[in-house]
Amino acid sequence: MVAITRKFLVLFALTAVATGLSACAEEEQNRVLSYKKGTYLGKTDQRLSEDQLRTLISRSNAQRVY
Amino acid sequence: MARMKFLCDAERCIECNACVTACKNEHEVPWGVNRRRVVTIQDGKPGERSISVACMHCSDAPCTAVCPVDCFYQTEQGVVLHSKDLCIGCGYCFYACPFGAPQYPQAGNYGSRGKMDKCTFCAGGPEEDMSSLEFQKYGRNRLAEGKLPICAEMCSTKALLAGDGDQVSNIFRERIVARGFGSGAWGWGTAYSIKG
Repeated sequence: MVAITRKFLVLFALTAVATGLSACAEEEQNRVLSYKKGTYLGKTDQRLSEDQLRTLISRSNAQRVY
Repeated sequence: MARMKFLCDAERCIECNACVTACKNEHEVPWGVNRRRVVTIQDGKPGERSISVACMHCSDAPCTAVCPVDCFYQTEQGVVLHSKDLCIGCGYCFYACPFGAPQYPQAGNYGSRGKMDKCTFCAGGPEEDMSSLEFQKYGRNRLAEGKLPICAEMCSTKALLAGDGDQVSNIFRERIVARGFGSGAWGWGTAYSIKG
């Protein structure tokens, strides 16, 4: 009787843990959870190349309309 | 290269709202979110002026200062961007921003807030440049394509200027010289007690 109760308890505990874990929202996973004040901890953005910057400067100049 | 800046010439803005429409179309901005708005004062009265407003990509951005999860960053060109992966939609940046730039899509019932959305200066976000994920989260990355923000590039009267701060400043200075003293940027007269 004791063995059956223990098995039942173990089974119950495993089910509870599995249910608890599966209940975690997908958007809650793979995200920053501990923050460092004043520091951006997200993904790093890509830098613009010299060519891209040159193009942007020439386009900025093209706005000169009277 | 200087910082990227917007400047709206209130003498030229005709309140056509094309910048607002172009922005929404270019980035497929969700319903209820406006990254750019046209504000008009003294509507229908003498002295009426309109100005196109979006995120001004402040050098010392208040949104960045108040964000509890530090989801903001600045690019080397001074564009203020944020990560939607980090944003918790708390709304602090909206309270802090003097321009009302941060916007929140309604994410569910009871008016709950989604992740913050704002003007990106058409520079996308921290995802890979010109990827579908970047477009989905932040809109098109025109800077990576070598193009300026769509709102400024399509402005028919060239009231809205965008780009390298030094050049934008030079263009505007030339206009002011041509118009004469006292026709400076919107609010200039108030700031320096000049009537007009």
